[in-house]
Parts: sequence; structure tokens; C-alpha cells
Amino acid sequence: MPIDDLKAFFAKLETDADLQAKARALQGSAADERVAGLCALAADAGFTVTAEDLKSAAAGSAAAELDDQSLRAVVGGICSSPGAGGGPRPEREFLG
Amino acid sequence: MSPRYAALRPDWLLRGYSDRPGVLANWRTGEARPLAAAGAYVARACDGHTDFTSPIFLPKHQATLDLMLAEGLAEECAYGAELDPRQRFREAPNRYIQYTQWAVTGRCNLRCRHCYMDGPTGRWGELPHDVALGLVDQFVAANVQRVHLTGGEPLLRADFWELAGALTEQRIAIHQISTNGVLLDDEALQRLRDLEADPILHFSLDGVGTHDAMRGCDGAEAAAVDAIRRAADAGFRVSVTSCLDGMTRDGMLPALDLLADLGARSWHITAPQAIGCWATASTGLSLDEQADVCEPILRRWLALGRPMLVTLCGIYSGAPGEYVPPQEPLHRCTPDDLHCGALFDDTAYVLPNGRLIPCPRFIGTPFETALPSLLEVSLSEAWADEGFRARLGVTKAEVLAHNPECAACDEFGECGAGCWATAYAATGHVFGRDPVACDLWKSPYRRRLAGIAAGTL
Repeated sequence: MPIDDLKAFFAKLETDADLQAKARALQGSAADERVAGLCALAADAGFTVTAEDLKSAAAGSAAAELDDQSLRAVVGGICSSPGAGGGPRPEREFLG
Repeated sequence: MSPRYAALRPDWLLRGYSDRPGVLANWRTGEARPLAAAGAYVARACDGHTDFTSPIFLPKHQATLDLMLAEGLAEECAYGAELDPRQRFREAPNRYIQYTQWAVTGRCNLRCRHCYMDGPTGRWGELPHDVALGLVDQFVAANVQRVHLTGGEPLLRADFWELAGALTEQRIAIHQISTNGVLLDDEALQRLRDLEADPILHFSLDGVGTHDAMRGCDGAEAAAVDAIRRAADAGFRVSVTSCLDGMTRDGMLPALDLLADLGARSWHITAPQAIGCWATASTGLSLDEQADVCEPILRRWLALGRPMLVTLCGIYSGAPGEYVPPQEPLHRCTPDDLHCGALFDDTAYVLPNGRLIPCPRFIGTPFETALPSLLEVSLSEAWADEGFRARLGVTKAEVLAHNPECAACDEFGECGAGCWATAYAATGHVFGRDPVACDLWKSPYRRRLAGIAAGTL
């Protein structure tokens, strides 16, 4: 399932600093070499990703896109988890 | 396609935690933007060297970058733009901790009758300079994003400005400073500006004509009012807390006009909790009496055009400006919740002796000494230790089992059986019920004041 592999590879790429460093090291090379290098990195990580998959993803037709709400969740805007306690928050009540 | 580079804007830092892939933190304002994995991935690439046209970025990453640019988190740049090293991604081994209230001293220059910190006796003392600086290092290692400096009177500490400088040097936001105002002269305000810090300055003012009696010193009110005026005139955000009891009640309503005139951004009226110096006080007000004070204040606040944020003894809270109907609560309590929502949430409180507690209400409870001292274990280690949560985490279910009236109460979803520490202070029982919250949630006052604010009463 190439699309599943593509998604899984990018999910790993988003969270794996070592893989990110290797991927970024490709950016000085020519476009075709970048794609080939990225496919090789994916293979090393256990995923089957082809140049066609990457081109399709870059065109926005393969990877799941984000709606506005999802996008905002990616970039933040929800600052902290709500407290579970009842009554007034103590932070405001004990100020020197 | 031309290469596309971006860099984080200078005020933004990228931090990571064991339970969060990334958080963008603004070191001047204290604002935090938790990121999902894709957001953290894009933010890490905002380093001035990574080409966003590379196939390692999908259209969703491009859209994420566009949003970060639009919201001022990052800016497009030429290749090679360098981030300040302090902005770069730094991962802490602990769970997310955003905010630390740090009582840098237990000493005070006033003699407040209600001090939870026993300031007049100096019970808590203060840590030596080098040890206090070591705490700053601990905050850095744990990726604390912002600090609220409090006390005692924090400006009484001889090395206060060195500690403040150490925090800003490490790009930890000084988000608030709580002070009685006596030592906050123009030089102090300028030193804050020199540190590029823009804290909320949080003053205590226990009413007009009543402050000195609560604070135990003649001239404290004049000093506080003067400091509030100078701070607001200098452009600092000013917040004020007032303690309500039988001796200060008559000074509360006049304080509203004064604080509106001075430009205070927020005003919090609260009844002291029965800990510290207040444990044996006899001038506390009942909820009925508190409501009698709060209602005229609410009406006057509405007549003045809602000039600041107000919180009135937990009975009412309202934002400045136009009326906005109350929102549904973000979270309704369930039996699985920890009874204390602050316990190892994203906020910590550090006592003057280095003890880590969830909030000052825990002073005098069994948790106070059961929780770790930062002189013995680092903040990062303490925050990463899930065992503390397991050992100290009284759940709502346990409280409900001991208080069947709470289990049957319609208000539980919002009240949550109240505050763990308040319950302990009142009952001496680990699974006790918080009588303050119980009275409040069962009373008609919250609905009544909400109705007045909405114009329906």
C-alpha cells in the first residue's frame, strides 16, 4: 500500500530528528537526486516510497490535507489543559 | 521553483517535552503555542537553512508554514539567516511544564494579617544566592517557559535583579511579579525595561482606607497606590488582588473607581484561606456577606463600562469590554480526574525553601512535605516522575466515595467537590469535601450575579 507507506514515512519523518537531518542533507543536490535520495531514506527506514508517490504528494493529491481547524491544531492556539479541580483557580488568590 | 527559507521570529523559542513534540514559546509575553507533530516538524525547519520547496515537505507542511508566517511566529528569510542559539529546539526529558510560580523569599516588609506565607515571622526564609541561581538552571533544563516571581515581597531580596536577569538571559519570560509596591520605584521599573521584560505587575490593595489595617503598616496603602499609578503610567500591565474580610469590606467599592482611574487591567477580590497567619483569624466573611459586597461592585463595574477584568470571590468573573455570554466549561469533572487539577498539571509552585508544590494552598497539608525539594531532586526529575502522581493523586472517585452527597449533587460536573487543599484545611481529612466550593456552587449567587451582568435581573 504505497499511500499508507508514504503517510507512515512522513509521520516518522515529522518526529525523528535523525531522519530529518538526513533528509535535509539532500537539499543541496539536484531535484531528481533529492527525490531519489528521499526514496532511499524511506527504504532504509522500512517504507516503500516511489518518486511517483512523492510527486503525487507534492501535488496534494496523495497525502491527506488539513482543513482550517485541523491546521490550527497543528500550529497551536490551545494553550494548556483545563484543570480538573473545582472552585476558583488558586493562582489568582495567592499573590503576595 | 525558487528555494524558500524561513526563520522563527526573535521572540519565539522552540521547546520539546517527553509528552509534547513541540511548543513555540514567546519569551517576552509568555504566550505558548503547543504544536502537533507536523507543526513541530515545520517549526524545526524554520532555521534559515532548510528549503521548504524540498520534497520532504508536503502541501500540508507548506500550509502550516503559511499559517506560522501569518500569525507572526516565523518570517521568510534569505538562506543562512541565523537563529539565536536560545531559540533552537531544545528537548527536556520531563513532561510539559509551562509555568512556575517562584516565591523567591519568604520575608516581607509588611505585616499582613492574612499572609499565607507567614511573612511577618519570615518562617520560610530564602535560599542563598548560588542555590537560587541553581534553580534558574533547573528551570532551563526542564524547559519552563515563564515564571511568576512572588514571595514574601520579592523585591526585598538583595539579589532580585540578578535572578531576574538570569531568567531573561535564558529567555524564560518573567510573566508576572507580585509585589506590595513599597519598593517598586521608578528605578525598579526602568530595570525591568532594561531586562526587556514585560511582566504583569500584580499588586495587593485591600481596599481604599482599609489597606493599612490588613497590611499591618501605616503608609502601605499610599505606597501601593503610588506604585500602581507609576507602573500603569509607565505602560506596564497592572493587575490587583484585594483580600476581603470584615475589616476591608467598606474599602472595596471605592477601590473599583480608583483602580479604573489608575488603569488596572484586572482586579481580583478574594477571601483569604485559613492557612498561615489567617488560620486563626476571626474577621472572615460568610458567603452571604461576600455576596453583599460583590453585588454593588458588579453593578458599579457595569455602570463604568466594564473597565477591567474582574473576579469576585469566585461568585462572578467578567472580561472587560462588551458583554459576552458565558461559555460552556472546557472540562466537566469526572470521577477519573485527579482531585487536584493543579497537581503536576503544567504549572508548579516553588516555595522559598525550594519545596515544589502544586499551589500555595498546599502549605500545611500532608502534600507539602511529601512533595520533592528542588534541593534534593531536580525539577526535571521531579516532573518526569510519574510515581508522584500515582502516590499523591487522590482522585475524584475516592472523594466521592467518602462524600456521597457530592456524588448525588448536580453541581459536581463543574464544582468537582472543590479544591483538595481547601478541603484538607477545613476538614483535616485527605478525602474531605471543600465546604467553600460547596457553599458557592449550591448558593444562588453565581446565577444571580450572572443574571445582573447579562441584564436579565
